[in-house]
Amino acid sequence: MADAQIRAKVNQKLIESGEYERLSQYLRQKLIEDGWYDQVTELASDTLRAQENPNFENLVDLVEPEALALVPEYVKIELLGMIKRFLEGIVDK
Amino acid sequence: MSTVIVSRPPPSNDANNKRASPSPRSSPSLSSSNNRKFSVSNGLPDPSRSPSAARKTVSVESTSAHDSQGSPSAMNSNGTTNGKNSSASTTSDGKYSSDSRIMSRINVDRGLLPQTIGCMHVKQLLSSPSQELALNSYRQAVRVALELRDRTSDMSAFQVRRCRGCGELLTTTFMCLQCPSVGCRKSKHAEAHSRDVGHIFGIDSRSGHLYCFACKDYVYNYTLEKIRREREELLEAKKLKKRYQEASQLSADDKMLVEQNSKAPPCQAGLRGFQNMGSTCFMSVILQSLIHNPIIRNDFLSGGHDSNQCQRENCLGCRIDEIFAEFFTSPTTTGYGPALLLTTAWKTQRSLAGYSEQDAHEFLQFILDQLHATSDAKSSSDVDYCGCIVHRTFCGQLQSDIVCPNCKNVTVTIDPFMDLSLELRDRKSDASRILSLQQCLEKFTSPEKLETKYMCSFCSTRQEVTKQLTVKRLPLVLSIQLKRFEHALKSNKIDDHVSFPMQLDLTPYTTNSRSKKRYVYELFGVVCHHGKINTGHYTCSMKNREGLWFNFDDAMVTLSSEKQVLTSNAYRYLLFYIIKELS
Repeated sequence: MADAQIRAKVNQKLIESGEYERLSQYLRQKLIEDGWYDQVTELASDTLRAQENPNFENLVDLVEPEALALVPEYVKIELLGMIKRFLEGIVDK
Repeated sequence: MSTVIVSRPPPSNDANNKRASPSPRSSPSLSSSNNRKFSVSNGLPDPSRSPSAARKTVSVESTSAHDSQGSPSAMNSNGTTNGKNSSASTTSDGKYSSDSRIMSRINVDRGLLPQTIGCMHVKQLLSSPSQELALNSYRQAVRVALELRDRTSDMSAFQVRRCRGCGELLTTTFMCLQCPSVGCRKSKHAEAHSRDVGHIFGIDSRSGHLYCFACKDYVYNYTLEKIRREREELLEAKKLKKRYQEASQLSADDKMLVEQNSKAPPCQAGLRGFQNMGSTCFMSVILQSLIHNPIIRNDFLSGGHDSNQCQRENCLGCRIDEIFAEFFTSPTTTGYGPALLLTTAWKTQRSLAGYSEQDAHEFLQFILDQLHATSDAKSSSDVDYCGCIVHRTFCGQLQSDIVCPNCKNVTVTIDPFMDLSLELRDRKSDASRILSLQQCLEKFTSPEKLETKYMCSFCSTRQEVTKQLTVKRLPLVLSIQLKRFEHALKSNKIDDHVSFPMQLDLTPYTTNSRSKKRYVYELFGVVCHHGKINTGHYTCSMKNREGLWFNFDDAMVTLSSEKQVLTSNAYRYLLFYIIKELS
């Protein structure tokens, strides 16, 4: 099957089985617990306050790289593991 | 002259009745680029206008079957002269039968300074003749976005939102305000659409917020945000199975009546300090915590205790109602002297009289008790199920499990609580210092071996039982007291610095701690104590409706910040958390 087709099928399984929602909620919970939300909110507020002409795109350019870097390793690893397990579960399809 | 139809696709017959799929554009003329109805300057400044750089003129137009002639006068009202002006003429497709529209032009000037609220492009759109259409389009799109957002396992919901450029499903996309196009943010397909076709407004397909591609920013507009909020609230209300407030469905006569007889609150409504009338700062901080408590505030402001109708003598409910009315309608910002409240409080409880400093937590308990007593909504049965606003807000339930080590029998008791008092140090070891709120809560809810032996009614032996407290039912607002005042051999204040989060997940401390549902709370108030145990001073920090933090020191109110609240050196005594969905 072509790449795009595989991708489409995987997305479909991911969404319809509810796994996407589960993964999203899990990630959100972990990031709250870790304090990541608080950190990034503070970073965004500070950056926004310092901008003379506040603008969303600028804000994203300034904050996104650091926010991504602040995500703790263990969360990334855990989530990748969960995704991998999910894929293994549907790979025969 | 051929026309470009730039409007919503006809209402589809499927159950969604929304933009379920991009229907093919009915006008054949769009595909041919030489019929574009907008002009793009070649990047050189237009000498007839202001000396700003790249200027792009965009037309927002919609036509209808009835519209057989354009209005050239209106088109040129902005002063632009452009050979490509066209008149709106009859469309080949008779489906778009709305009232006649005039082509309007919106100048997208990239050189002007952005405004702090909204953007000029939105303003222009909404004051143009196309405003009704724009509002309707926005309303439709918001409905699509918000209703689909909740369908998290529904493939078709994701399909509606997917980017038409790359087909990506799981990424932020924008729905075009003026056509069925949907483009993603990441690969800039939405941006490309706005550039190529000149449609500068996008609607975030998950939140419904408006994005202006000319300003490269999400923009705020009162009218649009009202539409979005209304839809969001409608969906929230449906979700919570509450009926949507009738108030917003007022008839035109009622609306006029309300408008004529009501006063808009001043800008910083509810933001005022209290004058210290002789060591009354312990009262001021508690009153501020009520004023900034969204549930209490909403109840009083919507007439929860009508001081005009109340017949009680020395009614503290009336005093609080008067304070709310005063704080939220009077434009003065000088400190409020709560003389009447004081006298009422003193008459109710003698011990409050006098000028000595009292304990803020005791005063909180007192005032909540009084508000319950003077409430018409209270029930005479158990407080855990009392209908008064105070109990509905603050009252939770604690479950206590007592386990007999001998026969393993568990005795379960459930008691109501209005606040949690957390120890800061282990009773035995002075040395172990608890550093975070979560640690305090963990300690509070962990099993503890009781020192005195109890007689187990099950196995009839005296045993050293284990007791564990867990929260069986969380209140909407959780008040936490950090027990800083030790009354051992001598009374002293525990100065330990306790860290606490803005967002607190309380699920681990509940009785069903393995529940999948997360109970996340958000901080909105902190009461601090400065100085020694008997001669100290109280101040507080509260979060207002807009999410801004303020410090209150008697009559002095100053702007603070989340960071300051979390990192200041003041000794926190009381913390107020509210469940996140309501914050």
